[in-house]
Amino acid sequence: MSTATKPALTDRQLAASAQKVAPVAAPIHYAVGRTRILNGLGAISTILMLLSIGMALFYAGTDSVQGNVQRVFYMHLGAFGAATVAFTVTVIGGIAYLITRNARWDKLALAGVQIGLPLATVTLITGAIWARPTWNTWWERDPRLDAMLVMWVIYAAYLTLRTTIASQDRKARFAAVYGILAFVSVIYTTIVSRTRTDTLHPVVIAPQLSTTNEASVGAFPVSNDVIVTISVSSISWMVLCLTLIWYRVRQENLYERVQELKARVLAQD
Amino acid sequence: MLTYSLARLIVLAQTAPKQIPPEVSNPYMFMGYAVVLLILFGMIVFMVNRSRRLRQEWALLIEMDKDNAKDGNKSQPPASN
Repeated sequence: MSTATKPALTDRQLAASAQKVAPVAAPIHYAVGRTRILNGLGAISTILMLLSIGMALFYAGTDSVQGNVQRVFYMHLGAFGAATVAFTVTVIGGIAYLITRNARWDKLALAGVQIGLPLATVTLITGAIWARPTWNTWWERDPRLDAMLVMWVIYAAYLTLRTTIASQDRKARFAAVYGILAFVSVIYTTIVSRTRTDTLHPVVIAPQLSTTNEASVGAFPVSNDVIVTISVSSISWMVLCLTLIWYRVRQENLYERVQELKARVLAQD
Repeated sequence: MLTYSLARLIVLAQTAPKQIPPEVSNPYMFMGYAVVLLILFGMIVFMVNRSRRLRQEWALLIEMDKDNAKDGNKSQPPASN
């Protein structure tokens, strides 16, 4: 019998053996139309990102005060907008999970954080790079910067804390509530530079409010070419974000199927 | 140790020597775009690689499942197929 001859494989042995096996049919079959839409979104987001980078570098005018480093702004703002969209997806997934208790919503909420966190990282790093020549420092104790860093840590903790709960249902319930509450940090980060006058961070997309922020440094005139570039860049990042979330959900489905099959095969051995 | 390192990093960051004039800020622009491309590229490579490994693992498990069936277990293929 096989039980006597086949020892159970460890995850590492299984992964090593898997390298030698030719791929077989896909483990999950999705509707062809949906897969086409997803692949189309992938192509569109690639084109849009190339377009937005090209416009930021070659179409938008050079700022007379800050020079070319101001062009980092288009990526900085776009990445923050996309991260906000991703964390909104987490809220939607969390609320839907609490109502329906369907695990697919938990996967959506998780994918939102898994994609949103790297985008928030892009925002933080590009902000620091932009700040060095503009503010004369990489980092400053500032309400907006601190809020952004706290937001990043809160979502990083989301991923860490999920791994500490064994029960799937408890994990999903905890993550749903946490994901909804964590969104408060996104709202605060968004409005803090518009409501406080002691922040260095400029408000670019609200000219009527930026005049109230006397301490801000790094603001620039918003001409038509800047508006067009900001619009294209923001749309590009958001489309990319939603596409990556969709791919990530499918990958999580695949992982779940592999785990189910692995449990069954190893149980037979 | 981590807290000390972070605190030290913040102190160093806040004591930058001088402001950069606009005409020589180009390296910072390139640095910014390099970071953007690096993180995006890293995310995509990570996802593609993970998908590939999961599919290979799936293929191996299917083979093992077939072997088990030949050995006498009356297992059925997964419902999704």
